[in-house]
Amino acid sequence: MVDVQTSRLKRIQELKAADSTLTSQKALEMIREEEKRGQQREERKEEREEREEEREESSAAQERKFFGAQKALGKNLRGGGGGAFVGGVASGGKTVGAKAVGTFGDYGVIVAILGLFTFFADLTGSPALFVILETVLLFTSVIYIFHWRGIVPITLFWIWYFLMGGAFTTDPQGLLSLFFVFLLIGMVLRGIFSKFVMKEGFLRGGSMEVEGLLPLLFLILDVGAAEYLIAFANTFFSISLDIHGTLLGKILIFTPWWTILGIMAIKKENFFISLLKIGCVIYIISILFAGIAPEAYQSYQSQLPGPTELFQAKKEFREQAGQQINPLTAFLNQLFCSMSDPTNSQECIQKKEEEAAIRQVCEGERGLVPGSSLYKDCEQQERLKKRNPSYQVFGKVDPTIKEPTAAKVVLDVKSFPGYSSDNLEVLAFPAEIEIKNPRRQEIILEASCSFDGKDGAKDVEGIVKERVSGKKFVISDKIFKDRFLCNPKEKLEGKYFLQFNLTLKDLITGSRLQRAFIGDKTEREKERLYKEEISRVIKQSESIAPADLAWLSFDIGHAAKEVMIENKPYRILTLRSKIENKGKGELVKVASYRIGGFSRPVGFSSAESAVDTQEFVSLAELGFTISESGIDEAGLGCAESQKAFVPPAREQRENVIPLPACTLDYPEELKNPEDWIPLQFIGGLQYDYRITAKAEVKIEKPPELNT
Amino acid sequence: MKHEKGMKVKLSRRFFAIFFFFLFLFLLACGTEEQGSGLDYNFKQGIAELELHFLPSAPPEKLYPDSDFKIIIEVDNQMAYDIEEGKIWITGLVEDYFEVRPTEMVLQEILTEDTILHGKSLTTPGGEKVYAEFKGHANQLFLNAEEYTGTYFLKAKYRSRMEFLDTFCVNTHLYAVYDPNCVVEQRKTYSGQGAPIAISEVEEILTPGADGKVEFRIRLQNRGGGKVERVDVVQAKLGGEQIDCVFPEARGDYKQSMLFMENDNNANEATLICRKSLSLEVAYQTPLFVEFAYEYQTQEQHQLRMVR
Repeated sequence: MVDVQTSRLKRIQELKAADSTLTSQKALEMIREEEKRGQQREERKEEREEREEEREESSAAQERKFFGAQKALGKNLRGGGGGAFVGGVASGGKTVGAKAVGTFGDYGVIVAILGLFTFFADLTGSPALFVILETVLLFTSVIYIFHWRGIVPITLFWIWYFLMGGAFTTDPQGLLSLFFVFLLIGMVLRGIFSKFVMKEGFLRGGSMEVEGLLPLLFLILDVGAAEYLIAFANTFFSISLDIHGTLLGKILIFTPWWTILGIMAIKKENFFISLLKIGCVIYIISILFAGIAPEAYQSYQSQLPGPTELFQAKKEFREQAGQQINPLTAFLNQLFCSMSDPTNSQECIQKKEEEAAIRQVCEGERGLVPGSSLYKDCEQQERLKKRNPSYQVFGKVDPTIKEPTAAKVVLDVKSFPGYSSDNLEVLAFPAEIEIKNPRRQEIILEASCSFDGKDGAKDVEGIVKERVSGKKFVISDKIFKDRFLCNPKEKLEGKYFLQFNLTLKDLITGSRLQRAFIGDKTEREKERLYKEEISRVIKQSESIAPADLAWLSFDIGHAAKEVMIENKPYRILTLRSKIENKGKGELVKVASYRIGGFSRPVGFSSAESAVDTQEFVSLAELGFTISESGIDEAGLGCAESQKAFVPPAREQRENVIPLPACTLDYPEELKNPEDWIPLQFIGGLQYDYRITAKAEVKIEKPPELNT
Repeated sequence: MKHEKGMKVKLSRRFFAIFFFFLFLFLLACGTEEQGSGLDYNFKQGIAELELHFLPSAPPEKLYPDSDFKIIIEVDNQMAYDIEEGKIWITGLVEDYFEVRPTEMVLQEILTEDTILHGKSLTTPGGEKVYAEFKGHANQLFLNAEEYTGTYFLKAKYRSRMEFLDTFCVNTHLYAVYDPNCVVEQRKTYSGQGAPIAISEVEEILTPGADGKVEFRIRLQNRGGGKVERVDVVQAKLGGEQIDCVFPEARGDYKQSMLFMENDNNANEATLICRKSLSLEVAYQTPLFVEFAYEYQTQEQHQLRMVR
């Protein structure tokens, strides 16, 4: 107060000195005005400073809250050291993350680029890599785009789906119930975290977890499971949405979803990012308006639900579409054909796809030089194959059979002898055998081995001793593990390739195919029936079999993969089939194959039924008649053959043995149903299969002992 | 900051309070259906249809190979009209896995007292129900499959009736200076007549003068969950006298019957036009009565699950 008075007095004197006419009263008033203005300036300055502080506070609050909370949580959970570690990781991660963001723009760009790569790259041969990429995309989105919202349900879902085999759930309601449990757990945990650590409301924190549904939706769409999602929605909401072949279907399946999400999340703006955005928009517009979409994916139906099945389906699809599995190539072909030959674009595309497939086989797989006479022969052969309807049949893995028959031979290289010996018994080369035989088939095992000489060493025959002399070695265990020893018949010295062969005889694999007999219906009724009923009962249009070493793929219908069989005079029913080698070994003999169905037991309780178990019966016994053209020159029938044969070398190499095709007529009771009748056909294949393991062997002279 | 946080909490509490208040009002408004005294309750209102319900564990949630099961369906007529003919059947099951016998049941065979499944009325205010039992057998799983889920459809097809009755003002003397006895309402809307098909709207068009005419444009809609196969006009009367009614969209010469699928614009709707000449040039109220007979089909999707 004294200071104020003193300063005022001083100021009065100054003013009076400047203006002698000024009275003390006026001077005082002026001083008060000055003080008032000064105060107002101070207040405005304070307000500005406060606002700036608040802005800084809120922008830092987000990071400080989370990383600080992590630190605090780590500290609470693990003690000071752990907390410091967590805090250190968090802040270190923050630094690294910040640098990465600075480098690429922001995480939206990383997700966009990685998403594009995942979409366009041909990863069909590397399902594990695809899963890893999708996982990275999923968690990057959850953490950096959605700021950890939904992390708990997403993590639980990922563990259950990918690691615990949850992918095999086919029941949509079961899947939904389980996901709700995950979401509920996530919401509760997040709510607790929000309330006690971040000091925000329980509900507020819990509700944030619901955002986790978004990245999960993107994952499902990106892995190609859109149709499953639709089927799921149809079941759950009792609607009948069918996107197959529709514009919506195309958009859902052909869009690189992670890329879209990444682009939407990009904060930075620069030339590259703008280019990305434009590229995506053009791609979607081209699908929407020009109807241009990768034809290769038109018939693609995700196997679902598991990623393994998806990749298996994609791999099989690749076999069907040749090089066109790569959507970028397919898309460019589409664009080219639509512009160069708009009226015949479909033919143009098919021709391009055929050429690419032929190029892949002749140049890519066989290593032939384009233009050479061998290449031309190969081209001709491939073109002929394309005309053979049996080659157009493809089978798929049965998702309900999780344990297929499998066999493995691994040479125990570490146990190989290194020195030569006159005592051939000592020169034993072990091979570990593992056979998974879930159906407890009686399998005859035959083992043999040989030593192919290298660098001047001569070939030597090998011998695997019989287990039971004079008798066949038969196993029927569910899992059979054993060790076989290969001994050379002569002394070994030098380098060799040891080839160990294990032949499994009398293997049987079954495959099944479902069809719908609809009689004579109008187009409108056919469409309705398929959309509302048949597509929900018969979910796979191809034959399916367990992922055994080989199977019989077959198709019965008017056209490939056509599920409905009509009773119209101009529609012919054909049967086409082929045997496929699905393992890494050799199909050495086909003992027999049959296509038919199961008999119909009469009655229900075991006391009444005439047949307790279903029996396999031929197509003829089911009332079908086969055209006489169903037998080829080799005496192989289209619906069955009891004559064993060894597949020709060329077909062995290609892993496909086409069988003759034929036309069928079917029984009257299937021709005019009031509604429609589903029927399942069964294919059985009996065969011998050989698995070979090879390893390099080096046998040296034994060192001389000093006497 | 604290003050702001306090304000936020206060606001959110208010918001929730208001929200729950309105939710409470809403729930209160959706009370149980008043049955009324029974004698004056009009069952022929709203939308109702034949309802199918499964009895618990029929079928069971899981089935095991080579086991028997039953599918028992409660067939409940919630309409205000009787069902004269009807059948229920199951389709879509692949017999290699699940066999059902019989696959089809006619209602008349299941009904014990008479051959009609009565709708809601004074004597059966809750509608009549009957139980259809299908016997099933689960066969075998294919090879060593873990499970198989078979989708099937439960369908019902029946024939029933629907009646429409309302009073309309007919006035062909529009140029009269005196007050008419009634006022013509050009458009009237309705919420249903106690059946899955309903008359939702009636438009009245009058042609005045000595050669007066009245035209009723009746909008018939499928409001149930199934499909209308066919609708026939059984009778139509205006004030006790016959009135001509036709479905203009019906193909063929007989216009008093309509297949709903014939309507290219909308498979769930049809228009009935009723016309009558009026000799009197007066305004008066008169009832319009139209009786329809129709065939209706519903279907529901279900699943049977066989596990190892």
